[in-house]
Amino acid sequence: MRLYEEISKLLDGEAFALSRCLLIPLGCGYFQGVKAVGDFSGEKIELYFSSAKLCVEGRDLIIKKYCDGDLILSGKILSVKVLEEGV
Amino acid sequence: MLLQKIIIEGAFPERALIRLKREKIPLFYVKKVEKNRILFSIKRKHTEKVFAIYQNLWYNENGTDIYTVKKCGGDVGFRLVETLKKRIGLPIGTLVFALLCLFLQNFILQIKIVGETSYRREILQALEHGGLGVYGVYSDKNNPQICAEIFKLDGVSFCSIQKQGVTLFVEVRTNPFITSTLVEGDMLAERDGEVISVCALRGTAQVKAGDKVKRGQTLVGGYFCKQSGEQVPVEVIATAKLRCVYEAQISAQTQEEAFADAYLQLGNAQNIQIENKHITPCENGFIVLLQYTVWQAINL
Repeated sequence: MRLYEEISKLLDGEAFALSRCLLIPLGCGYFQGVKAVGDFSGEKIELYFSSAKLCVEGRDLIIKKYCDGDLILSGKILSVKVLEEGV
Repeated sequence: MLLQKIIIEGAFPERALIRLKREKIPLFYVKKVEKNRILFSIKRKHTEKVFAIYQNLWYNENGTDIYTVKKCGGDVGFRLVETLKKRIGLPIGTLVFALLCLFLQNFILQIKIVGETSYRREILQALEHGGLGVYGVYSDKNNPQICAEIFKLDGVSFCSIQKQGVTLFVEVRTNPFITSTLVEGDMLAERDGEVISVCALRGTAQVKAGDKVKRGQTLVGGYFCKQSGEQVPVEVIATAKLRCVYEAQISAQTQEEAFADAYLQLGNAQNIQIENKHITPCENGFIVLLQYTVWQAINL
């Protein structure tokens, strides 16, 4: 948790601290602060945060759990693209 | 955790998830199965809430999109079917194994002899005569005959044949208290007559062919003599054949009747052979004269 605090100090705004993700390369991912889920399929998922949009690409992607802004993505994550559009 | 599968159909169905997220309903295993269809699972307790939110038809804010919400089959069963589809060899292998077990139940793959194992060879022979053997089909119709054959073995007091699974269990018990059944004592003449032959397998013959003997006279003595002259008692095993004469006056109407009556008087008809008969009528019936041979044995 301290790691995130340190990171949020470097960045401006509390919103960044609320949106975070934890990725395991070629594995699954855990995303916090997800406002909405965009178009998704087994190969690509779009996640909307308050100030950014994430495009996650991979294989056999399944939203294992999505509740209260927390999203667990299972499958093989191959790439993550961050775009500046948010919700 | 019991889950309920839900399908949402409509244009951009992922947007329907926003409403659920706002209501703080956790979603599990969200999957886009088709372009306009999303499959996900929710906790069973939230099912009513979801249908209360959507009520099977829901218009978004624009009023143009329609979403249909449907329940799917039970999660547990669905997962099982999906798993079995991926591992099709597993149910097929299980079925083949079960059928093989059922089929092999009719066969004997092993024979175990319990109890008295010294008669193993004889028991296996008896089973073979009854049509039972390893790798053969089991049938209990000949079991009584097989048991009867096993009972003929010396000392057998109990026999049972049972099949458990693919193993045939043959239990044979012998009587531990078997005692000698040999008659002790000398071999005595049962009637008066002339000795035709004497054969002493064990014991010492006291008479020889041609000797006249009386009823009760010793034919074979229950001993044998050592070189030192000492007599050692033994159980006699011997046979003897005697020639005897029966003469009597019998009151009867006919000769046949008189002969039958005389024959009955001899007793023990199995060991008797009539050599000569002479029937003479007399005042009160007939005088019957029978010459016969009798065979005697002891411990045989």
